[in-house]
Parts: sequence; C-alpha cells; structure tokens
Amino acid sequence: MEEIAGTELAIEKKEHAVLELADFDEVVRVYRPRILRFLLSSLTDRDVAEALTQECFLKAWTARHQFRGDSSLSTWLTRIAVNLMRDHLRSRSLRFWQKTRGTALDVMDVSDWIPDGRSSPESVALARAQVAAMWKAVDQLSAHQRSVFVLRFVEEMELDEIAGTIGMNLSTVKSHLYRALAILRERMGGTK
Amino acid sequence: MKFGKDSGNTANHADAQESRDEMREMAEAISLYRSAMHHVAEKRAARLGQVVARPAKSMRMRLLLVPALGAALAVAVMAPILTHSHARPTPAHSETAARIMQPAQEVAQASVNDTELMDRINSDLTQDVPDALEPLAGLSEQTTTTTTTSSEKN
Repeated sequence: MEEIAGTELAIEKKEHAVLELADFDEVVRVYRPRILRFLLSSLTDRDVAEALTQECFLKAWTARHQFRGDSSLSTWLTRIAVNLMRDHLRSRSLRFWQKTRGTALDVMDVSDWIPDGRSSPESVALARAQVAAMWKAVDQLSAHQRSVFVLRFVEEMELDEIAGTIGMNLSTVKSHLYRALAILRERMGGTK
Repeated sequence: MKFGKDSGNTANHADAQESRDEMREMAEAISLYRSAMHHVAEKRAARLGQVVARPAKSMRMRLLLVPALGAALAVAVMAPILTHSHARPTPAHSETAARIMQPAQEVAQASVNDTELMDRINSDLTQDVPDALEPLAGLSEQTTTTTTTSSEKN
C-alpha cells in the first residue's frame, strides 16, 4: 500500500515538474535570481555569473526532457549551475580573468540596499560595512567551501540537499561548512 | 550551549560570553550578507531579463526576415535564368547564331567540294588509257613478244 502511494507520489511529482517546465519563460523568471545569486556569491564576478546564468537556462532548456522530477526544479537548476561553475573554474580562461578582475568586488554594490529594521544612517552604514567585510571574507574561501557556504546560508538549503546538488558526501559537506565558518569567523573577527 | 562545572569561573565565563557575542555577530553578518545578496541578485536579474528580452524580440524579427530575404534573393537569381531558357530567339539572337554557324557551313561546303574533286580525280585516273597513248601500248606489247622470241632462240 505504502509502495503504491510512493509510486503515485513520484508520478505526481514528475507530472508537476513537467508542467512546471512546460512554461519555460516562467521558469526563467522565477529561478533566474536564485541561480544568479548563487553564481554571483560563488564566483564573485558579475560578468561571469551573468554569462553562466544564461548558459544554465540554455542547458536546462536543451536537457528539459531528461528532467525526471526526482529532485525539485530548483535543485536541478542549481546542479546545472554548479557543473557549469566547475567547468568554468577548470578552464584556462578563468585563470586569465582571475588575474585581471581587479574591479570584481564592485559587484557588491549595495549602495541602494537598506537592511530591514534599520532606519538611522549610522546603522545602515554599519550594516553595509559588515556586508562588505563578509563579502571579502567569502571571496577568500576555497571554491568548495564557498559553494557549500552559499548554498547553506544564502540559499538556505538543507545539508543533504547540498550534498546531492554538489555531488559530495554529507560528511564532506559538513567538513567544508565547518572549515568555511571557522575561516569566516577568524576573518570577520580580524576586521573588528 | 552547556558549560562545565567550572563555568562559574570568571575567566571562562567571560570567554563564553565573548564567544556567544562573536557567534551572534557572525550570525547577524551572515543574515545581512544573505539579504544584500538577494537584493543585488534580484536587481541584476531584472536588468538581465530586460537585456535578454530585447535580443529575443530582434531574434523573432530576424527569424521572419531571414527567410523572406532568402526567398527574394532566390527569386532574383532564378527569374532571369528561367525567363532566358524559355524565351524565343530574338532577331538579334538569330543574327548572332547565323554568324556563328556561317563558318561551319562554309567548312562543310568546302569539304563537299573537296570530296567531289577527289572523286573526279579518282574517276579520271581509273579511266582507260587515252587514244593518244595507244601506239605506246602496242609498242610495249611488241617488246614483250621480241623478248620471248630471242629467249626461245637461245
């Protein structure tokens, strides 16, 4: 009985995913900010993040028939983005861009961002300074540490979901996250 | 967070308090970072959506225009070829054709004349020896008979 219910649920999930993918314009509209956010946080390079976001949706479109609905659409898209990022990090072009991206930190342009619950100019300025420090600290993490940190604390994904998306063991994910937090804590403490 | 039995110790208590403050600050910084990243990404994604939408429109126009232009070009190229192949020959064309054909006809005519001439020569040569040369023919006959008699004598 439970087996049948599970099969029905899987079919329902798949149908829902297929329906969701049918309106691809809507998929792009809904998920583009999330994918861009992940790539922007992980690569800290606006141009590359935008290019890879476009490529991610292009890949998703061409491979839409392969999506079986085993995971959520969001996880599937994030997995494509992770793979693209990995390929990009491996490519030689990145080594060139890594050397030349002197202004990449300008991407963290939060001049028009007003944090919630803060009204005084001093508290807003303090919040922006904290974000800038965090941005710099995250930029210094290794690629794996940064991806795990971003997926956990920016995308608010569960650890097992992160493991499935990145293709790592749960224990490896935990290890990367622990190290990332230790480094950030050290760096953030040092900025005070 | 639980502390050991000696948590009453002032130094340890201060350390724990510091650690808690640090963690709270860290959590706050992460929360602010998340909020800022959401803001930046949404802003950039909206801008990216506008940029992508424009090429999409132009791409649609291009998809319509390219086949139309291709068809027009094909018509422009094929029309003269088709009309040329189906057109009747104009007087100018006939004159040109005649001018082109004339040397060939002349050559053919000349070859006919040559053949006739050769036939005539052939027929002349195969004719019997003319009357004026008949005595010579008799002489040659005599020579042969003389030769035979002298040989008989020997």
